[in-house]
Amino acid sequence: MSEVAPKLRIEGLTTRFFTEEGQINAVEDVSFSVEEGEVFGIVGESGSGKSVTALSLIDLVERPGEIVDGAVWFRSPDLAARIESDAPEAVDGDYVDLQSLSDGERRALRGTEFSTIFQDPMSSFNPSLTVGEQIAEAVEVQRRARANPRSVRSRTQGYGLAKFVGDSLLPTRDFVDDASHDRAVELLEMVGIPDPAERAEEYPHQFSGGMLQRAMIAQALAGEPSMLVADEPTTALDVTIQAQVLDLLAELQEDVGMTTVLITHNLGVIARMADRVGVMYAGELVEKGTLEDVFDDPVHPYTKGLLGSIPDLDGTADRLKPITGNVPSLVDSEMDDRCYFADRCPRAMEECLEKPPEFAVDGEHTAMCYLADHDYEQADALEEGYFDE
Amino acid sequence: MSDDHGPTPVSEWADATAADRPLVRVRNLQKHFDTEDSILDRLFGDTTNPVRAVDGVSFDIREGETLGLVGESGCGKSTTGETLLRLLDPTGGTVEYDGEDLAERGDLFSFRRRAGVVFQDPFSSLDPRMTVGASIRQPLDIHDWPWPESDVDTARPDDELRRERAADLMERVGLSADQLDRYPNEFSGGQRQRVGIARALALDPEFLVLDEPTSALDVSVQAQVLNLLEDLQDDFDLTYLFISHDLSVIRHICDRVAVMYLGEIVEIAPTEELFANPQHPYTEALLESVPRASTDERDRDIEPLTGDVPSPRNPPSGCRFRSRCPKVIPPADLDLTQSQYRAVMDVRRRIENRDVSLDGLEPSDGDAVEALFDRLLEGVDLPTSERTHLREAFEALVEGDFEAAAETLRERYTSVCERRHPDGERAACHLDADDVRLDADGNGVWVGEELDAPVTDTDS
Repeated sequence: MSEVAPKLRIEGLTTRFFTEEGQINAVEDVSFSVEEGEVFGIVGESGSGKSVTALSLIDLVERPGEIVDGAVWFRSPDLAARIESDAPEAVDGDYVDLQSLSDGERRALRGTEFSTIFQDPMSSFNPSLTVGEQIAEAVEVQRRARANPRSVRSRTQGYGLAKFVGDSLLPTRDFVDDASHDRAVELLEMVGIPDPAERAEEYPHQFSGGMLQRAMIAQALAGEPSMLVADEPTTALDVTIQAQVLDLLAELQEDVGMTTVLITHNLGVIARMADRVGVMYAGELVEKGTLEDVFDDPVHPYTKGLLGSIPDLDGTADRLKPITGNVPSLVDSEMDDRCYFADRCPRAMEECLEKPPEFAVDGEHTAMCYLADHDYEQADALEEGYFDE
Repeated sequence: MSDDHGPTPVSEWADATAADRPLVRVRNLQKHFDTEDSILDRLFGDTTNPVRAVDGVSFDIREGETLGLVGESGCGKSTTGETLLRLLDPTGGTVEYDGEDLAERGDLFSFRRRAGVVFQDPFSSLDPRMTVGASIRQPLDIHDWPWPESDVDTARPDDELRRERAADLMERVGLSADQLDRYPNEFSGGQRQRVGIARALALDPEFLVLDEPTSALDVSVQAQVLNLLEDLQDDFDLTYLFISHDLSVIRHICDRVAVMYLGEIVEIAPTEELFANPQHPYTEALLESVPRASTDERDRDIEPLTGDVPSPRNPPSGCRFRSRCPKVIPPADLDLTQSQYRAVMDVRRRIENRDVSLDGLEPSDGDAVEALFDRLLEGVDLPTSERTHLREAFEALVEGDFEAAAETLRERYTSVCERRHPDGERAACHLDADDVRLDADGNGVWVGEELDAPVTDTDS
């Protein structure tokens, strides 16, 4: 895998939210790379910054949030060659920096090059349009984007008087043509929806949650993207339906060879889908490596704690070993410059009061913890109750 | 109507092994939600079926045990918990608590002392305008604690005693007593859930319904709360009804487990047995579906269930799981594999629901029937004998006669699973029945008496 250059290189990504309560450091200096055709899983608890990381990848962070630092390098040789002369700062070899692209260029990449599946299918569709129409629209937009990357428009663009006058005077015209509609039906069939032609005419409320999630996957695939960002794609679903959707995603992954970034809080889903895993805590990627590295051989006490917290379905541990304390606040003024996990860590040492760098454990396996560098020294342990005030 | 519907007399399987009297005895509990039809609706016959959220469940909860109630969303597990506690009025069945029928009690005031509840969402189950201390002591005020039998110095003023008890409870659930005067918004989800537990414990109950108490929490916090619940059970001799959709949590905390599907309990067994050796195909599928957090997970082959849960307004006749069951029992004389039989049954269901498009098919066209085979049974290779039978149905279908087509299919392909409501010692499934012959893969064939005249799904 490593002979091929990675599809995506994230370097020092930092996203902050500037709210009334103060600055919130949602994503803090996160770096990782995603190889072509693999599934990279990001796992973490609520508030760990995993969803903001996903949004930052596809540049959908909205005010008051802002990507303040870092780059998302996306490998796209064609695009790199095309824009090199106009915007040399956005190009590095075969890679383009999504942050420094112009809005138009970036929009042209969405759907055709990378695509997204969100958590809640019920609120991700427009309730007043049929499912088929919405997927066909995606197909149409993608098709037009490929034909002319600089003119991507969706029907929802254009507001106000001009649009009103235009709509009233000009003959109404379907936004999507028949070819796009047929493609939408094909896509619905591909994701395993029975009677796709009829279901395409139905509205989102007539679909069940699992069906709608399939439809969203179909929509995401409309532009035949080479990369998919899936943010908690099965969290809203029941286990039997979750199994269906995961199966579908794995199948598509195999057929299309898509590169996927999968974000979830469910370690089981990660174990089922991911090739490599990153564990997030308080906005930082505290440990990353292959699935085996992270699950069988975790180094960071947080990763260990997380794995020890889940009750085992196939055997019974007598007592769970939870992580004590609570997930920290991410408000800048309340964060000390230390290992953010130190106050909950059973093996916190004096040196943890200084932020640990990223240590290599072996190969690609890295962890932001001094324990990756040297063994635990009882003598250096922080005294109990150090962080209590 | 046959024995398909209405309260099914479940044999006394639930408490077959209980020697002592159970603390809670639920028999045929039923809760149907009627949508309020207006007079106009009724006038035009535009009424809807009630939602059969809980449709005849029976189980016992013994003193000191934790009974788990597990199922997917919409299966009626929370409604069962609420109906059991009389937070909702049942539409049928009985709940006996400590030998006494709750329906025969004049008021439930003294029952409320003995049974409490912890809800799922710690963000909406606490009053945001009350300090957590006030929330915890509210039940004490309402029930005029301390009572004569309470182990406190009743000479002291009630107010002081109640405040003291609230502080004790806070500490007991792992919070600090000086947080009593804070408001819920100052607490995290896990802490709020602890407050909810403290409030439920205020009156020193013996029985708690825990309705998804950890579902809103992160895994690391969930583990803390689960450990707390286990400790409290030991300290206060509590009996739990633990409702959850999370099988690994259920396995961890429960002594016995009841699995619900579409308003009914399909299997009930001691936890170890249920997980080691699930008897009902639904339990099996449910266990199989859960992704394990282990590196072997990718190599584990799973066969996910097809389809969605049917509407509880109009559940399938017979066994409610049959529309998704991978082990539907075919009649004896068919020459079909399990998957072929399923495919034929799916076609039948679609014809019965008139869910087949006849666009572009001309009855005069000789290829129309073949086209239907392609359309409905694509990729299914059927033996000639069954093909002949299906052809007959499809010929009627091409003419647009859905009813005749469905009738033809029903005659031959009726399964015991749709005709009879299953009942069993442990799992409500016909596979256990004497009249079913099992093959090596665990698939069954019906070899019993002829089944009575077919009915359609829709006339329930």
